[in-house]
Amino acid sequence: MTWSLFPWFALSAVLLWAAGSICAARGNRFVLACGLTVGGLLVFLTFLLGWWATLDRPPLRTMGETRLWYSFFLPLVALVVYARRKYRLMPAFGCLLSLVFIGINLLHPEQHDKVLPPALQSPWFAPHVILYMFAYALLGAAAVLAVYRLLCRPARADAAASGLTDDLAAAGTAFLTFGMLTGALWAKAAWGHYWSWDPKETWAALTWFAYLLHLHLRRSRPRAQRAACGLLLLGFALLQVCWWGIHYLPSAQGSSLHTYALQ
Amino acid sequence: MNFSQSLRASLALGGGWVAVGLLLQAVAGPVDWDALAFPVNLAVGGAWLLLIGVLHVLRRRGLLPAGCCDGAAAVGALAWVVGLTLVMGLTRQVAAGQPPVDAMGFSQMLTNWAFVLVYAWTTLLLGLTVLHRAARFARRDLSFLGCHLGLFVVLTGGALGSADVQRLRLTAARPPAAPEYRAVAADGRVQPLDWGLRLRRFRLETYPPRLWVCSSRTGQPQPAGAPEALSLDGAAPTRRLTEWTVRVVRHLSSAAPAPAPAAPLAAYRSWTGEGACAAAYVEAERNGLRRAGWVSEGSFLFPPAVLRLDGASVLAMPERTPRRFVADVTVYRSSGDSLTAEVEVNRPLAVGGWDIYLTDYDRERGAWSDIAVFELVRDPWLPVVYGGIALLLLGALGLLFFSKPSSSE
Repeated sequence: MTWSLFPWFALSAVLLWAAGSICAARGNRFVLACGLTVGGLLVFLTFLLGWWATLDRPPLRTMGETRLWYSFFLPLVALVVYARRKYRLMPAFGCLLSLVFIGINLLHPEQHDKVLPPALQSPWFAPHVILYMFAYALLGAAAVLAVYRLLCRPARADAAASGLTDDLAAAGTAFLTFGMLTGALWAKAAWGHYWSWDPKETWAALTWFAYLLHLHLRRSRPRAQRAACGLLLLGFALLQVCWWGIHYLPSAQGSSLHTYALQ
Repeated sequence: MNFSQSLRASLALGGGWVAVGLLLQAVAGPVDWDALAFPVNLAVGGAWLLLIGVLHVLRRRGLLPAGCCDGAAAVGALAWVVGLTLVMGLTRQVAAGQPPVDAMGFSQMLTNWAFVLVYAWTTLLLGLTVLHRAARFARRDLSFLGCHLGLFVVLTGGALGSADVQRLRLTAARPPAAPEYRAVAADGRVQPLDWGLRLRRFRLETYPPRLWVCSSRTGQPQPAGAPEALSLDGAAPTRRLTEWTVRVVRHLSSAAPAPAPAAPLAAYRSWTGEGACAAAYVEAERNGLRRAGWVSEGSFLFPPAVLRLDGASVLAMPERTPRRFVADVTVYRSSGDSLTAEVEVNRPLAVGGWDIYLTDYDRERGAWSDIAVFELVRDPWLPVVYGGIALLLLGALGLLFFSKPSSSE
């Protein structure tokens, strides 16, 4: 598998997801919608696993590689939500958001090689990053729903959308917790301490606390829908900073242990 | 007290903690965590648990202000936690042990009184929440208790135990050097150990060498930002790098410059002694312009060699990227027995209550380093924090799998 094949795999997957989204939105083709979306996921997964074999290491080291997983998990989360909760627009949301990150990968291709720094050669590496990317996908879906509810539908009236948003946010927070704690256990093995408050860890904690704040607000004041939607968007913004934004933050320059980009 | 009133009170209380904290910062200076060294941390921990217990009893008897520990209080506390952690994330932090460089103390946030008080207040609320829910325990509360108790234990254990964490540095050398029994703290204080460590061998495994075109002006590999490289892994001897087609004619993985080469191709010869370096004889072609010569990464004994392509670029071989650092060590214990083991990144060695991490080596000598630098870490409160992490993980799992969906269409 080579990177030059990625545009073809991505195009095939996106076309399948788009077809699945149309079937889902029409409301009367549930099996076809699921089948098309699963087909797209299998195409994308084929590329991911082939790429893993070619690189001879987990494709999780660079920003672009983590974007690949995000692009895969978004439609997967959307499919699960659609299959369980019959929310007809979710496949479309998942496809659109995935397309954004696929587009970034196509516009900014990176250099890919087999090199994996010694610090990343750990059984914690793949679970830690994959758990985080899955959490990001869940929280991305929650953020999309929050925008939709703020802009398109009265935030108070739609109990189903509200419940769905809460469940996505709660599941995303749980996976953020798993990702963060696996990171802490790995940090002890790699660096000698489970938490050093380096910029990545600070922003990870900040993101986690923001979603805990959302969780507690929803439990204590269910009527505060708009504030809760706002918190989801704040959390998503913090998540983006934690994921890639800290590379541009003046406060984080040259001071993070989480720097694995190689020349 | 309704939610809004309770939230306003909580936010005001948090603001009060921040104000008190900033005042303390100005008057008393940064928090001195070293003051919590054993046995003070045990006494403080006991007092902390007693305080929470007393507040819990007062709460049950209705003697605490209404709404001071409810969901709205949690929202207010978390809002302040998010706010102060955001300030920390946006402010460049100085190294641990250094004083803050700003008047408010935000550049060393972990010693900032406002930050510490807000986190302590949040931890207090966690403790009260756990006791309150445990007092009317139901099985469905297991996940809830796991999450809250887990975070309480992590925050309390991490804070109380921070002063007891010891980090020392030990430099061990290969024979004929004797085992090293001394380690050095960050302040330069030498601490003798009841065990000694000798480096038997240091191994540096690397990825295959590679070639890339560099700017002769800046030295940066090209194209800038996304350099292209030809890996000397035997897969493909020819590759296009920028505008040049580069072909590897001869590759020596372990070589040295020849003293009096009879021909250009003989300028490097196979050699496996200390200081050997990778070298490759290459040919480069661009629009009919041809260049040929040796390119080498160099070593501590030999300078690197580059091939000048034109006025703007050279073909170079950077130092090989490490794949694995391993220190083969022998540990000599006071009981008389010894232990032979490997220490490498992500695989520390545990000896006598210490975790030994490989952190550095003589980078000048690279794979022939005579020394290895280790960091020794001892954290007696680690089991407490790990217990909290386990509870937090179990609680999160429970919430994920056993909580009911909020609603459905």
